[in-house]
Amino acid sequence: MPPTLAESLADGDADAFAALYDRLAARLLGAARTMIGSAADAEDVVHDLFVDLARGRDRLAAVADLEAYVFTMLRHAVGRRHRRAVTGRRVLVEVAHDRGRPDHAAAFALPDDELAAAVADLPPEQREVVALKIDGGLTFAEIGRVMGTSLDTAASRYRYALTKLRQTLSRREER
Amino acid sequence: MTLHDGMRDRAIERRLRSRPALAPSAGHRSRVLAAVRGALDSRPAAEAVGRHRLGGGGVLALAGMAAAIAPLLIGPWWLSLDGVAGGSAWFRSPRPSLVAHARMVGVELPPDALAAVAPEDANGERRHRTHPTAVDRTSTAPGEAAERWLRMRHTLVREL
Repeated sequence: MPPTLAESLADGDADAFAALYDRLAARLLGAARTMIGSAADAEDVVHDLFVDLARGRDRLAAVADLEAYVFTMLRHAVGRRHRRAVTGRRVLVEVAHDRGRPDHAAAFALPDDELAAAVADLPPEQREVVALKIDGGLTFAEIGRVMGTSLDTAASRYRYALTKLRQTLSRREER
Repeated sequence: MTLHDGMRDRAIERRLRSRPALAPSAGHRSRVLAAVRGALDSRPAAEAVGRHRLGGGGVLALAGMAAAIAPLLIGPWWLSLDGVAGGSAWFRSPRPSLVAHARMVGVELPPDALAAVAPEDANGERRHRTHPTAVDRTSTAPGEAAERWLRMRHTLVREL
């Protein structure tokens, strides 16, 4: 019986990592972009994610749902990056304020695309569900496993996210 | 949520799905896979390295440490078990309340029996450590204390 992809990854097979990249990279990049709001940062996160997978490959042999595992790692990587970015942004905004040029903060504003801006305004948990559902193509059961919640909670967060997007876009249309 | 809201939600969902997919930039794949190879080369798999096993010396050292630590771990349990046994004996034994009850019904217990129940300390004060074990611990003659104790019980049984 040929080894599974997870077993090949655990064995340190470089071709298996290439196969995993070809299978998941576009979905991972899309989900990371939705979570972070930046395509360039999304590429960095996916790059670091694959390096982390290679370093911790011993654990992969025991993984039952490889996709859910990889998206869970993606979510954690985005969370770490977000925390670092918040700290860095705070420092830069303080520097801009000290220089009397508060417009420096505008450099960190969200993309001007209406929908992207509305998605970026969602609470983090709802934005993650949208990213995992729309970009990652995961089912609510898989999203529940990735986020450590029940299927119902994942589905509720998605529904709330759509409602909030609808309200945000309606307000913008009325202006 | 109205039907109209539901239709708008579906429209937003379609709009989200119709966003252009984010294709990896040129060279991203090769950069990622090069970094993966670097990580694979820099840290061999655990099986290749071999798992750490204890040698004979290590086992002996561990056994010695366990033997040294055992009294510290078991000692408090042993003492607490002894305390439990003493406590249960105390609950089974007559207490000063018995002596007081005896007085209430006109039975005066012999002084040495009272001393057995609540022995005097060096300052002449009565201590309320009243079970036989406590008496034995404070008496210079454990046999005498036990004898006084038996006599007191005998008197109680006879008088009450």
